This record gives sequence, structure tokens and C-alpha cells, in this order.
Amino acid sequence: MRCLVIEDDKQLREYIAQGLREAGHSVDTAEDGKRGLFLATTEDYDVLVIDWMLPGADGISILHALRASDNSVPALMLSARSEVDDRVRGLRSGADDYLVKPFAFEELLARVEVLTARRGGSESAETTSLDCHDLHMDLLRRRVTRAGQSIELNPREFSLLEYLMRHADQVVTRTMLLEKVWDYHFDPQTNVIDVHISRLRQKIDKGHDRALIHTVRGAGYRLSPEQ
Amino acid sequence: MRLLLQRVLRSSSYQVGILFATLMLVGLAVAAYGLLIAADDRLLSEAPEAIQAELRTVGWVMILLLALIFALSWGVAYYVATRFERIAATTGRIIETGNLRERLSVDSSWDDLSKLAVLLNRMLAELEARVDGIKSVSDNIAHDLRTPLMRLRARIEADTEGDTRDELLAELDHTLDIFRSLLRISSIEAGKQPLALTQVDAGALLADATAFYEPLAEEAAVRLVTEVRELTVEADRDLLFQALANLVDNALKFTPAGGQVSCIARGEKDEIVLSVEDSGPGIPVDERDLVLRRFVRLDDSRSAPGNGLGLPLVLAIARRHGGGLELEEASPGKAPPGLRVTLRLPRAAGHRDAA
Repeated sequence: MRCLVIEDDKQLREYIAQGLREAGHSVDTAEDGKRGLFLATTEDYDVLVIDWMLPGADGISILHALRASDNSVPALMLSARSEVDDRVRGLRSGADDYLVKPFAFEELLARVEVLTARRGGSESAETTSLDCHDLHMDLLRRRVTRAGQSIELNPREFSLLEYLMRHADQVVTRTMLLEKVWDYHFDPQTNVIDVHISRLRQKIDKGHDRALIHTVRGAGYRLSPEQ
Repeated sequence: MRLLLQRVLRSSSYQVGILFATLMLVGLAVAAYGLLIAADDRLLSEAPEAIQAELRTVGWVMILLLALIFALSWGVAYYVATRFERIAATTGRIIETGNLRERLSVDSSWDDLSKLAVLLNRMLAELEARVDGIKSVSDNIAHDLRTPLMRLRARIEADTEGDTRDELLAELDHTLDIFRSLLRISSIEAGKQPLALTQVDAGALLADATAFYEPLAEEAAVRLVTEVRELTVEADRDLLFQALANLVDNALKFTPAGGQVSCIARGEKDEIVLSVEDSGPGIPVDERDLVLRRFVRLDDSRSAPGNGLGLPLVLAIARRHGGGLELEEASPGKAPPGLRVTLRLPRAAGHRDAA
């Protein structure tokens, strides 16, 4: 996967680039907005990581320019500004996701990988059912079965499992679950997400030889038939 | 009438004024008596007509003068008392809201009371500058330390492994969390960022917050009860949810197994009232203001997880919306009295910016 990182802070740029390379991606970097925009328009990338505040042209102008020329490459916006207003502005300008500094690298990696997978078209609107190994989710009748046995889930557990299944084999972080499943941007103080997951795990994995919900150390969770 | 009497008795300038006025009244009586005597022909019949007339004039002038002084001293007392009351009201409001940007009104510059107001204003300006200084220093510390801590985090991620790595990262993330919360409170208090105001159903928000913490309550064997109804309010959805989440989280932390946490949303005339009450140990009256300050954690709660920034954040969010926060006993008289935290928000927050 080809990534472009546009970030003026040298240390942060190298930190992101190195991390992405270690995760097996090829990475180009740009230290200012002009060079970033040039690379983004001339080369073909799978994902962009763009800082909001940049010398030359800021992140928002870059996105505006790209989207105006029908370039729909997924973009993750980085910003030190955490207010909801800024997040909304960032997303409206054409960013596909928004990450507030400081962040853990796992958070960035998880979001970048989810963005590129989305582009692959696995998440189409017409999907009526989701499968992972012997776990089956019927989105129309809102029913879940594992190995043919029906599993009772409350609406929140259902959406949680749905999100995990839509991003099967990918790491999803606790913050991503908060934002996407609960639809609130807040700091829960206590790790309540872990408790929600362990409840779901009880219903999905208990009594089955193969566990589907895995904890990824220091990052979050992954739904996958493989360990 | 009783109100006037109370005002008169409790104000020092009124007391002086009244003393003066009483003296004048006595003088007035004496003068009137003198006039009566003068009018008495038997005593002054031997005196010439001219002197009699003169005495009468002097008497009348004295009465007029004394009456004037009486009215004047009452007027001055009223004027001074009103100004004192205005100063007291403004000072009280500043203490109440913590808004150091407010100033006393100075209507003249010649008397000591205006000098007092000017002096108090200078003190307020000085206080404001110092508090701002402290705030910006701590904000800068928090902000400037984040970058080196991020680098440290990167190094730990890269160069350590196993349990050590996880422990170090957890410790560091906790520190970063404290900085983030601290900066968040400051940013909300400063009011620099506009609120993302929308019409929000606060009842649904409270129900969502309790649903989010439900598994935690179940694990802790605490009954979580909600009693909500639809309540439309103009608020910042994410901030309000954060405030409610903090309240529920707090209540669950301090409620022993077998206890109960109740979340209630109801509407009053111009405001909505959201309260979370628990059956925990509660907070002694004299410590209730304390827990609203940053980093203050009561001795009993040192063992519980938390950083002492939960309630201050709720308070900042409440004030930013033009509302307030109240702490009281949930069930007064009972053995563990419990705690009820009530968040009051005006229905139209945007029009009353709590700057």
C-alpha cells in the first residue's frame, strides 16, 4: 500500500513514516503543503496522512484542491485541535477521518488500514449479511448465528459486532469504537469499552473452540478466524 | 416597611445617617420649643417689638435649617448605602461566578467610596493577571510537555517489549490523559472555542450515558436506574455527553456493591435539571466546594482510580452553557447519605454566554 505523509514536524513525520514502513507499507513524505499537494496530484497513493497546520498550503486547502479535481484518495487529517467544531470542519473539507495529536501510533495505523480497506469496496450499501468463519449476521432481520445457533444480542451489542464484522481482520481501536458505534466524541475515564467487548465475547466465543474476537496489545481489538 | 427597617439597621452608613438625623430631630424640637417660648407674650412682653420679631425669624430659620440637614443626611446615607450595596453585589457575583473579568462601576472620582471601588478594581485586575499567568503557565507546561512525551512514547514503543512496554505505555498514557483533560478544562473555561450548539434531547443523552456504563454497573453489582423524559435543550452534544458520562462514572466509582445509582432528567420552567445520585459515602458539606477544584481528591477517594479532573470538567461544561452544578446529600439522615450531583442548564444556552 502506498502512503503519503504530509507533516512539517520532522520528528513526527519520521515517526509516522517509519511506523508505516514497519507495518509493510511504502511511504513518501512531504514537509510542506506545496510539495505535498504536488506529490498527491502527480503520484497515485492509497492513502494520505495530512497535518492540518502546514507551511505553504494547509491541510484543508490541499484537500479542497484534491477533491475539486475529483481525486477521492482516502485522507486522514491530523490536528492538535480537538474541538468538535474543528473536527466537523476537517471532515467537511473532504477528510475521511480525523485524529487529534498526540496519538498512539497504533491508533493511526488502525485508522489508515480501515480507510484503505473501505476504498476496496468491501463496505457497500447493499450488503445484507456479514460473515466471519462460522459467524453469520443477517442485517435485514437483525439476527446473528454462530455455527447455526442463534445468538441473542441487544441493539448496542449488535452494532458493536456489526462494526467489528465490517472491519474483520483489521485492528479497531477503542476510540474508533466510541466514535463509530456510540457516535460520541468523549473520554470515558474508565475502560468501559473493554467491559462491553468482554460481554460480547461471552456471547460469541463461549463454548466454541475457535475464538473470533482478539485483543491486540496496546492497540484494540480484531475480529478474525485466525489468531 | 420591615425591609426598610432591616436595611437601615444593617447598614453602617445608614446608622451614621440616622444618628445625625436623630440629633437634628432633637435640635428641631428644641428650636420649635424656643419658638413657642418666643411666642409666649408673658415671658417676652417686656422685650421690645423688634427683638421679638428677630427671635421669631431666627427660630424659623433654625427650623428650616435643621429640617434641611435632616433631609440631607438621610439622603446622603441613602446614597452611600446604595453604593455600598452595589459594590457588595458585584463583589458577591464575582466570587460566585469566579469571573475575574468583571469590574465595579465607578461613578465619580472625588470621594473615598469611589477610591475604594477604583482600588478594588485594581486588585481585581491584578488578580486576573496573576490567575491568567498561572493558568497560561500550567497550560504551556501541559502543551509543551506533550511533544517530548510523544517522542518518549515512540521510543518506548520501538525499543522495549513485553510487560515492561505495556506498563510504561500505560503510565505514559495516563500522564498524557491528565494533560489532555487539563487543557480541555482550560479551553472550555477560557471560552475561546465556540460551542457547537444544536438542539439536543438531554433526556436521551442521559439514557445513552447510563446505557454505556450499564455493563460496568453490572460488574460492580450496582443497580443503575434511569428516569428520563424528552428534554430539548440548546447545547454542545459531545460536551454535554462528556459531563453526564463523568457524573455516572463518578457515581459508580463511589457506590459499594449492592448500592444504587439513579439518573434523573426533568424539566423546569427555563431550565433542565439532570441529576445523578448514588448510595455511596457522600461528601461532607465543607468539602463539596473543594472537589470542584482541579486535582483535588479527598482522602477517602485516593484509592479509587481517577485524576481529580472529572468534576472540574463537568463544572466548566456547565458554566460554559450558562448553567451550574450542585452537590448535596442524596438521602439526608441515612447512614451513608450518598451524593446527588445536579446539573442545571438554561434551555437556551447560546444566548447566555457564561464568559
